[in-house]
Amino acid sequence: MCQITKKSYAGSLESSDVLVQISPNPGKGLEIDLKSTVKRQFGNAILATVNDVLREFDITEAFVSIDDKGALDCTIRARVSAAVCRAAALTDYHWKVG
Amino acid sequence: MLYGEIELRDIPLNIPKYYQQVETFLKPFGLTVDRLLERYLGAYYNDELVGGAGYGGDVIKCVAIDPRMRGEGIVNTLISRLLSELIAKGLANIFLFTKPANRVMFEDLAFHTIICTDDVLLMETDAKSYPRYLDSLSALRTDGGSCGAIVMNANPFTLGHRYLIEQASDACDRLFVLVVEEDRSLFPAAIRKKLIQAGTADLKNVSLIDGGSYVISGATFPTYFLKTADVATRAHARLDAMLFCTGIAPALGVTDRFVGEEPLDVTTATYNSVMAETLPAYNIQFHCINRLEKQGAPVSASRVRALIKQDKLVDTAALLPPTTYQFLCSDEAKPIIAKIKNSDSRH
Repeated sequence: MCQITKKSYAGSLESSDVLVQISPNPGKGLEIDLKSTVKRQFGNAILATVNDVLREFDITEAFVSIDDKGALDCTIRARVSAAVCRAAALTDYHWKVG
Repeated sequence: MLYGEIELRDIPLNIPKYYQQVETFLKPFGLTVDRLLERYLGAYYNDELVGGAGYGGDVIKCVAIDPRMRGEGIVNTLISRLLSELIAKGLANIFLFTKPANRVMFEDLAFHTIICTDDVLLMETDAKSYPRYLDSLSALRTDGGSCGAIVMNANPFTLGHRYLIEQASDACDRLFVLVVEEDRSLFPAAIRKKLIQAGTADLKNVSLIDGGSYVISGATFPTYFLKTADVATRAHARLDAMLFCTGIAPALGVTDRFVGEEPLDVTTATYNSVMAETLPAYNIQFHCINRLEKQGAPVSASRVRALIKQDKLVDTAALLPPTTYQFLCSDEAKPIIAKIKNSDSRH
């Protein structure tokens, strides 16, 4: 299991990007707060992507705040992954293609 | 960086020409440049300043956009840039000080409202920070009986502070002393707290609490550290008072708030009068305690600092508890004393 040890940020608030904040959430499991300019259309899809990435990293306890400005799925994945690596102080993640 | 035809530029506030440009730009928005603003980013359109935002410490402020340029996403770009700079500095929580009218806009820009008064709005990026601070306070509360609170900077802790705490401690079953944590004073926060602790160790019903970001900080009360008396001071004092009344006091179960009478310092006097106006509506009793006098003048930390500046450390003994005086005579205090001697700061 991967531990979130500190607060981290990734991304931006520019159009087509997403700002992800992850912080420790002692004893309260996973909590995701989603704000998105396209929440009505894609809110569930965004949450599914975020949950998917968290599962890949085996994160079971964190507070994740998502401020989405219409980011593509791959952008959301990249931003959440980066935020997790920073918050869990992971340095051995392979950012390679294929 | 180009954003359409909008260009972002750093505005060096230390150059008078640019300082004035920002001052002139902000004026129609009712905003002023203060000494705590360390960085300002401008958005230019055809060489004309049409938007800007800056920060001091961990607080983003002075955000303004020319009404003709709204809806272009300029604020997003400015805020994104400032946020990434502040995040790169390692700050976990970033505050935003703005006008209530901007609430919806900034709630869409990763900020969460801490408190909103008629004049000012304080927000933060970490949605959990303020609720968690209040939770940590709730854990300290004991129900039943009267519970007092004092907010104290104690720069450094004098017999005057001791007198105020004694009076309050006698009047209440329990007393919380919230120590201002912002490190803008000549005595660092850790030392100020240590000296209060040492000087009140014999008072069993007194507990010290870190004021954190929510009790007289650069975020809640920026003008406190500027020592100016103007409309902004009143608005900031009101914000701080509202945070106390709606958040901190209920979390701790505070029934009584004590302040020291303030005949000299205008900022603190304003703060006291705003407290006196605000507290009754929240069923918190306000008590203004007279100043302790020694040698015909009120005992105050500024008087102690003035004596140190004049190289009269020995004379401070009459104004200080032995614990503070011993500290001032120790090696640990040497760099602070040197700083006081070289400083013109009000703090």
